Amino acid sequence: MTKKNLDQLFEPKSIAVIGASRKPHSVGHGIVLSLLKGGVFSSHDNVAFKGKLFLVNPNAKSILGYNCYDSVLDIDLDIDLAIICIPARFVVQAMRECAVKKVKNIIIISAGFSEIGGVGVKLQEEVVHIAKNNNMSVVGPNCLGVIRPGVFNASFAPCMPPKGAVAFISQSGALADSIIDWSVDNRYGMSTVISYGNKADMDAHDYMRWLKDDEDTKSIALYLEGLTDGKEFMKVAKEVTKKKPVIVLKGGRTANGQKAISSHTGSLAGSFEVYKTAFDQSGVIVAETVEDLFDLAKVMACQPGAKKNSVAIITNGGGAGVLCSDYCYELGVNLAELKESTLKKLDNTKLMHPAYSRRNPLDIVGDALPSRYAAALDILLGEDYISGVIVMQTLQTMTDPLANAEIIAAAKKKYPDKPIICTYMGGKFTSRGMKYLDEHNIPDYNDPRKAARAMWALIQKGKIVKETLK
Amino acid sequence: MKLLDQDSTLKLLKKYKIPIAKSKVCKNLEECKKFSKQNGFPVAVKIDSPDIVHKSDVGAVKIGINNETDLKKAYTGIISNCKKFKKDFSMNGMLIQKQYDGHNLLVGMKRDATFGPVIVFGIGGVTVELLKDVSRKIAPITKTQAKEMVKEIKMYKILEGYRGEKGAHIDSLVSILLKLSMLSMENEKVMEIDFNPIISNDKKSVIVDARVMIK
Repeated sequence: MTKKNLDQLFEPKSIAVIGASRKPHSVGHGIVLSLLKGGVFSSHDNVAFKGKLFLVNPNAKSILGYNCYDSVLDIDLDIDLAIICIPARFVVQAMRECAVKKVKNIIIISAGFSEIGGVGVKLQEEVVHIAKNNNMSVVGPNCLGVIRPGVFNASFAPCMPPKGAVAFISQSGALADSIIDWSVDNRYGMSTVISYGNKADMDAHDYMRWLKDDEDTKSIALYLEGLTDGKEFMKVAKEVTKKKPVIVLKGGRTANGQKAISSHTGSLAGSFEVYKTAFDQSGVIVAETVEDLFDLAKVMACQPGAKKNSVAIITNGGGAGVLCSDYCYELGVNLAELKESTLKKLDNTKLMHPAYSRRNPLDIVGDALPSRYAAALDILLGEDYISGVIVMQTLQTMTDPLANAEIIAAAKKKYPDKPIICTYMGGKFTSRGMKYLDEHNIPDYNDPRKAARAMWALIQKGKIVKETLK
Repeated sequence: MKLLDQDSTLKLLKKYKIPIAKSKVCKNLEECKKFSKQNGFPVAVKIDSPDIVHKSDVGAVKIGINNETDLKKAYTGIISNCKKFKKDFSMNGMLIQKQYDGHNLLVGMKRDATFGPVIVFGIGGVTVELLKDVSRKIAPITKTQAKEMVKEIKMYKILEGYRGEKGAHIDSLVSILLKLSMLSMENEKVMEIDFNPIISNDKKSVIVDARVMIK
């Protein structure tokens, strides 16, 4: 399979919208708004496309003040990217014109292809045929489009997500819509959103290959239901995961697809098991839920990998520490055994409570003031045999969530290579600290299992880095 | 998909030097007796017929046969059981096999439409689908990956020799996995393979039953 050059798809200087429309609620109008304003719904994260925009519609003179062209062939300038949003039966003709115009990158938003069977399958085959013969790359058909947050929105998603480090590739367009809405509210930053629909020409791995070298992308979150070429996916995934984490959520896990099971092995290698095997073998992390997908993608994008599987828990609440240890055990996150020399350092601070746990999880007792957190955190992070710390905080009357958060952020600065994960358990009176952690890019979860899971992910990230250096 | 007959199955295994228990497809009871004289008891006998896929379900397998009298009883019993299952079943012969003691394991392959051959290793026998203690890898696999497969199952400690019990022969299991990987990469018509059970003891691993499904 040939490697596609997708630079112009993700960094176009000129875009043509074939099927730009005057009708306010049409897709063809929405796409024009996305490009002109960043989205149909107004949002602070929206930005207009700064390159040259051309609208193609033979039945309109102008749309939103832009002159319309009868055909893409009437445009004088070169077009880097064409977005096609006309009825399926006209798409083949539009593709032919794009081929003549030498447009190399196409997004086909239109539905009515392989997903409807019959005539749709034929149309899609023709589209692929034109693309292959003319060395064109096609996103879709039957997709939402592509967004580069902070740069342009070539989709009919409601708006743009905040700019960030996670690239989201989704086989489902509707899911991407909702995730984008959620991302704005939760300030979840993305580098790229790709909805690739019927994958007629390009499948998930084609986008992954480009994102591998994209400097804005630090991790890749993938939602997929099925692959066409599993071997090629594995080949590319192995390359990509050496450089940045890929996390996948697989839809259709329980589909009882192949009923014709005629051997023992057949029943032991069902569809999801095989996908999971392929993901494991290529270094792709398998997410459990939508929330898990984005939790892991973010933590793996923003935090360093743990160099060893040997972490510590600091807590001011016994129960919280016990829960977190249980989850760590279940996930295979090893808790380091605290050395005598470490305990001596803690004792020497004279800040520890006489009844502090003297083992991992390090329970520094409910009355812990920020100074005790600071001492414990500094000593544990300073130990070579401890590769990362989970800091837990329950709310006692003397607890100071904000001051503790400041201490954690300072520790992060001092030990940038070691992951720190927080579990601030609480709500109203804890939120100031939570906000501070979030602003300082320190992962914080209200749930000990999520914290353990995040640390597990960073241990996986550490392993990947180690294997690359080999 | 159809079941490959026993003769071609043995040839295929031989080509890849995959060790299978000493066995012979016999035309009659006399040939069965001759085989057990040459190779010694205990032996197992089972029908070789394209009409009978799940042999033990219809009573077409008898194991632990220790003498000629029992061998005769087993032979006639199997044929009458098969007739009960399908009156006009076609018979290639009776497969007689030397029996071994050891751990009951499974090695298999399924050709996946998306990823190609998937190699499976685990605890074998009739409870395999209940236990589901298996590991999987997509072929082709390396020696390191084959070793990982053996170690990944929950019962691995038993294969190492648990609490004084004899373990399994890990090296020969790894070698079978590698050979199966090669076989499935080189024979695209082979859709599924079951080596179940493989008997593995402290000296060697031998395949007792091999089923190959072809396109």
